[in-house]
Amino acid sequence: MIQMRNVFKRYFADTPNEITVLNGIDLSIGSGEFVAIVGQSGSGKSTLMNIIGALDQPTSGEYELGGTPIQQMNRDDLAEIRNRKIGFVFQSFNLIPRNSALKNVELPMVYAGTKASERSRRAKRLLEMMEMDERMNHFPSELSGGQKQRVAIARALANDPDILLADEPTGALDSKTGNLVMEIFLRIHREERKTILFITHSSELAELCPRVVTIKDGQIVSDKAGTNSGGRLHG
Amino acid sequence: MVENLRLSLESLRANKMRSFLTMLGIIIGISSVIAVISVGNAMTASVNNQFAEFGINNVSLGVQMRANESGGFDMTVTKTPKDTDRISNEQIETMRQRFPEIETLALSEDAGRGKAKIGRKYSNVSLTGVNTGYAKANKVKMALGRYISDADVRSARSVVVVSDRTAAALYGSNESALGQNISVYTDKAIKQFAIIGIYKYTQSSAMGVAASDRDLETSGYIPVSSAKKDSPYKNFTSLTVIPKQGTELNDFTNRISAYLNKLYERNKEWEAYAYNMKSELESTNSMMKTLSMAIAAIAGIALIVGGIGVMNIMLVSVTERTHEIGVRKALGAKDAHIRMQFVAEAVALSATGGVIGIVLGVGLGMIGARIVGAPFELSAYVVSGTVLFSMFIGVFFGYYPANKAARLNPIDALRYE
Ligand SMILES: Nc1ncnc2c1ncn2[C@@H]1O[C@H](COP(=O)(O)OP(=O)(O)OP(=O)(O)O)[C@@H](O)[C@H]1O
Ligand SMILES: [Mg+2]
Repeated sequence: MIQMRNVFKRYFADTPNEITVLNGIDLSIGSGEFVAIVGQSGSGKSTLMNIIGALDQPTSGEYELGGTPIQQMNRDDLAEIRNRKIGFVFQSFNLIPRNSALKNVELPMVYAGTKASERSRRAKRLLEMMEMDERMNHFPSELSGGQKQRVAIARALANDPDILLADEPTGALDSKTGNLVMEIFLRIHREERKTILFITHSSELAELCPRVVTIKDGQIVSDKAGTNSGGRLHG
Repeated sequence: MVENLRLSLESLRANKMRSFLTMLGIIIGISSVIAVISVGNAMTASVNNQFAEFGINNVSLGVQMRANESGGFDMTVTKTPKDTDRISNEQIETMRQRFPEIETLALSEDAGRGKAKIGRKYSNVSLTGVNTGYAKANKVKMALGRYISDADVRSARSVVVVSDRTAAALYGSNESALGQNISVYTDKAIKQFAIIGIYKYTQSSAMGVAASDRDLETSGYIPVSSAKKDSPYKNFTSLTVIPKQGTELNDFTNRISAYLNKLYERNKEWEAYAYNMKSELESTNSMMKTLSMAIAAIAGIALIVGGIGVMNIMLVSVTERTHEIGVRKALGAKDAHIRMQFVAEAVALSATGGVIGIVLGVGLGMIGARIVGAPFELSAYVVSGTVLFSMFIGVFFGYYPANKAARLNPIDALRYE
């Protein structure tokens, strides 16, 4: 599903201020894997994930998504990939403030050109799945953090993508709500067989994942199975 | 598309004050365009109506004092032309033969004013000697009976065509007036006429308003030959001709003026003139058009300023919503989606301004039309034209900011705080 070879990301390249954020990443993630990405702040986790999600481009190296090299794609093709193949979940939710929960979930389908009736039918079903159907006409400002994140997950699933990319989805939530969100991801992985990449600072959550990739200074320093994978969250 | 419209109206509502201020330029521009066009049209229509009353195809001919060497007139002496300085019946006949395009030739001769009386009933009448052509040139409309005929003129009969007002004042109705003999008391004499016809009186906007309806003075038309019997002059100082349909009016006027002036070549004091209302109407119309254009140009500048306002606010909006644009791109929005969203917003802004401007402009136009005393008219073309134009302003001035939003790099937009 995801194939990276010798990927570098540099800012201010060829100037005295040059910084290397990703320093030769080789990463291969198969279909249906659940991978936690951990590492210190500033180590390059988000940068890596943004490149995987076709939001950003590597300075050098090769990256193939589902067998297609990303470098040769134009802006519209990349938008199409983000729209159909990838679902993003962010730490700060990133819901559109002036849209209701339902309209937020519909948005990726609007960009996919789905019919209005089909759009709202599917958005309602996804919100139901997230147990948010009672709040579907509420605006983001009227929702709690955990509720917002559940709407955001429903939105990420709107176009039934192959890959879910979650950048610290529990980072802005208390541990109890965070665990709840983690449960949702585990359930999605179990039931929908989606490939999930999950950035977290919580070692407890990371160890629940079948695979844990640790990044330090833009390099992968460890890549192993979670010690508690298949285990249960307590609390 | 529907989605974009909904979004843009929502963002309009979210920033009411800001949207309103932005729209102000467009509102002012559009409303002044509408007001100017409608008041201009109303004025042109009322001027045209007034000209039409005189007869737009009439050519007035006559004699006037010759301008002196310095090009002006001697204002201190007013002279009456002697009979030999006037246009004679023979000259008129020759002219008619020289100009076969003359369809109608109207003659008139003032025959004094007075009161038509029966017992204690009276009506003010101004007697005018006319020929048959006069009715057409002056748009006299018959209500009952007949108008002055060629035979009446030839035999100088003592017949009169009075107004329906006179008929009503003296006899109560047109029917009972027809065929009656009336006496008209002028300061010099009492004249007797048989009423052969009654015409419909129409209030001419050019004439003053009578002191009271009772004292209203209307014309009584008698044969021009009958009028000449009491006049010291046998010849005419003025006449009106109407050329046949399809005659080029200004050219005709020039030719007939040249022809008449040839007759006055040797006359040191008097010369002939010929003019038509059409050229005056045209110059009035073109003056009005120029005036409207000038004001429209100012309104156009207001519209451009309004458009720049739209552009400015859209640039602010794009900057403010950079993060949102990033989120939308992360969710799969293509450049075109973002561009459409912001163009739609700019169009919604300017079109809303346009609609408010139209409402305001119609109001101003109605007030303006009332002030100039002309009926208010507004064509659907003007309304749809201005709506389309204001939408065009939205597209034109919204495109650059929208494109700027569309071209944002997804990750940079998303990371923007
Ligand atoms: N646009 C940019 N220009 C310059 N430097 C950047 C830019 N984006 C990221 N960086 C740098 O790249 C490094 C890695 O950032 P990144 O966001 O990937 O870290 P992270 O591992 O996600 O950290 P955190 O856990 O705090 O989210 C940081 O040092 C950051 O300063
Ligand atoms: Mg990060």
